[in-house]
Amino acid sequence: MDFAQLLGGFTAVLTPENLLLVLAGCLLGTLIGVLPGVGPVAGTAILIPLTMGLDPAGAIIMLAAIFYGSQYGGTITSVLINTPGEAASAITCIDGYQMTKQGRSGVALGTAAIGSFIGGTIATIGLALAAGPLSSLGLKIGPPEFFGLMVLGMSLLVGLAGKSMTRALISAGLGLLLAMVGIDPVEGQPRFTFGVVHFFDGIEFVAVLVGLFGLGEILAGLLERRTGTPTAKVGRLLPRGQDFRDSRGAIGRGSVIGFVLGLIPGMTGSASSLLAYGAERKFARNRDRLGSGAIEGVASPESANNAHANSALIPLFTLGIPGSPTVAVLMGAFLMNGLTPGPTLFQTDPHVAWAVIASLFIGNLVCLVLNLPLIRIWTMFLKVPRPLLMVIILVFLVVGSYSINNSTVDVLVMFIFGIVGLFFRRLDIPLAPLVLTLILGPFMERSLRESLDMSVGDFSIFFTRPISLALIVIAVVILLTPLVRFLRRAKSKPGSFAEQVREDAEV
Amino acid sequence: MKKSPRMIAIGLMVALAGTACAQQGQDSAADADWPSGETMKLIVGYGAGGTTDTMARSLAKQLEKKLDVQIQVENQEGAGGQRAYTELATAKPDGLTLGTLNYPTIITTMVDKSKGATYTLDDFQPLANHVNDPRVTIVRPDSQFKTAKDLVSHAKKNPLKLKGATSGLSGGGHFSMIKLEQATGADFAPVHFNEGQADAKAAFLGGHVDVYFASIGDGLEVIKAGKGRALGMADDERSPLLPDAPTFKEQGIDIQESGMRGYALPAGVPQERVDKLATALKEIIDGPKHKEELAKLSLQPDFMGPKEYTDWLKKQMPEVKKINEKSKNDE
Repeated sequence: MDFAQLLGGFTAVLTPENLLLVLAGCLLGTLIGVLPGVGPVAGTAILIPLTMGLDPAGAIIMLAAIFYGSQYGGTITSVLINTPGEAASAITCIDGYQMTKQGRSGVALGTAAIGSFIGGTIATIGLALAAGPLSSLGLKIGPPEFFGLMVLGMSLLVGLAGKSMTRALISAGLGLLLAMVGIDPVEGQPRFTFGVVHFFDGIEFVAVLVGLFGLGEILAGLLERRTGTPTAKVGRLLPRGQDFRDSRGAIGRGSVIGFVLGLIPGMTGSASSLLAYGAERKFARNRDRLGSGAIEGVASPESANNAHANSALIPLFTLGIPGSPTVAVLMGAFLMNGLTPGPTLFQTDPHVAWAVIASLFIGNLVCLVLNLPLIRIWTMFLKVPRPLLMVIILVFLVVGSYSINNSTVDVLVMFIFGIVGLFFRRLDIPLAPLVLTLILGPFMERSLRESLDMSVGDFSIFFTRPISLALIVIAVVILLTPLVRFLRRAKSKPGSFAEQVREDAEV
Repeated sequence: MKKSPRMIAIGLMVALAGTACAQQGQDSAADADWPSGETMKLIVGYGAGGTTDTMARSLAKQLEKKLDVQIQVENQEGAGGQRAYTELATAKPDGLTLGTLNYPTIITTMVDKSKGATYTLDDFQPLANHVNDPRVTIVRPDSQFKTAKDLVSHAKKNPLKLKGATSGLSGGGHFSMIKLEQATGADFAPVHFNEGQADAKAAFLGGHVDVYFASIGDGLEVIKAGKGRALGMADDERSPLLPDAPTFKEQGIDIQESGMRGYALPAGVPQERVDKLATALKEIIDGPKHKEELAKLSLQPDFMGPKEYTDWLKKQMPEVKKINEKSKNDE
């Protein structure tokens, strides 16, 4: 695109005031991300008034910085205390917290910061160079394609299953059931709400996740009478040697997945990070160690959600379509400053548009520079003696779940799912499938209903459109591969199922 | 009648005074500068960044200044606003919680028993209408349809072949589709995007649907950017925002359907507070500065006060009920 204008944007941003705004935004955003419950959407919305006194470009620059700062901040609590600061970082808990337990929290956070930077920067380059063509690519994804994508996402369940498919299905089923609670998105009928008005909005899934991961972990530690501070070791920050080799591929994959999904209107960052994590099951070097502290399990979803956050701005800038809820808040900020995001923005206010794009580059860099040294400070948290630390985390969990909707019902939900999380741990049921179905379930239902509207009830719509067909075929292949492998082996070497499994384990 | 709760309130105030727990009471001394210094909540029934949301936020910004309050905007999207209405109806009637009312969804959720709404119009104190956002029917610029008549006659000959995007079942976009169908005998296949306008707009721009039953607020940017052609406006007169777009009426199809968006309190708010808020809203909405601001959001102001607004909503009920019955059997 126009490099002169991009350069003009950089000149506009590189003033002391604007740099200060970027810095303040990144810092505030990181803090928001750290608070469990207050995610980027609520956080950005809360902080909109802060920017009212600024000129339009300054206001947007600061809000954009808050926006991706919070994307990064969510990782910190996921990794350190197994409590997702926001939904997009929920999946990071699984390997991130294992790494902390192994005394590798430093490298987990460092890799996440670098991955976030790379993901964000790649997406911003896309925005600067080819926003127009890319956004029309995103528009190709209609409801049937969206549904195909969700089927593909669900099929990754097989990868997330771990040792026992039965246990994974229990977890996934529970997630789907929870996702069904609330007012039906099409007909407006309340489902499984038991007349509780609060559940008309659905069960707040952030409260569920915070309970399952955070409180579940505390309770499990209590029962196992864990003592001491086994997690105090931080390790180095920058991935070197093996870690570097393992994570660079994951960062690349995560960035691409997040970037592509960010272009699709209606997709959220949490869906992106989930799909990126699922993809690691297929492609990571250490795919067998995924779930027990593999660096890919942190690198990929974190790169994905930052790439997503930045590429979701492409449909906003070019079409005026907010790609995700957080971007919608950002769009509100544009409008309140008298700027209409959309195809006419580059004609009516080109310098603002380019200043914002330039600020995204700078903001990503600032976030990285800011966050790497801060890791040492965050991890000091782990040096707090265990009994005290657990109490502090508990306070965090209660305040965090309350602040999602200012509702005590969410606190209750968090406690209940803390107990559920404890049972999951005792019974060795994996959490990842539940996260997957809970987050993707509503998307899947919605796109299914919209597609059937389009075809007047005819299911063939999913198989007659090339993109949706391709996605569904890939999903079927993923689902059937283990079965075929099993059947083939059963044919050549008859034996009991248990023997087969044992052999599998040896291979 | 009103005296006794007030006396109790004053009594309670006295009792509470010693505890330094200064809850705002209902006595007139405290009411004089009410709601100055308070925090208000504005429940928006649609997602952040949508038309209703930006409209409400632009008003909230000015209301904050005018009344010296803090306003928290809370988006309760889903089920065509019903979640938000439910929350509003059951909110504490202290005048500090208000919510957006969107016609027609506020009426449809009431007249349609199957929606299981727990509120009626009596649970609300309508406060002010804010904007009138007429529905506009849009096709892509390369479409074979040049006029509303072209579109209608094709849809009549090929029933259920033209896919029409709406912002939700029994919502305003859907109503404008049904009114067009009833007036002309056309038959569209509705595709409902219940998560709001952004999804409907994306599906239209992506070519996944043929016709976009939008409101001006959502369609103006599409039309101005040359990505859509307005075939008909469902209003009596052309919109000042889009003077080139013909109305349906001037093409011989007499239909009207506008998104009327305003605000309500839960019922039971003391009359002085209702009046105070309504006056503040009137001053803002009728002001020239706000009109300009709304134009930037592709909206046109249309103030109605508490009484007028309540009557207007009541008047719409029978017809909405009829159209809604039709909309539910619309496949």
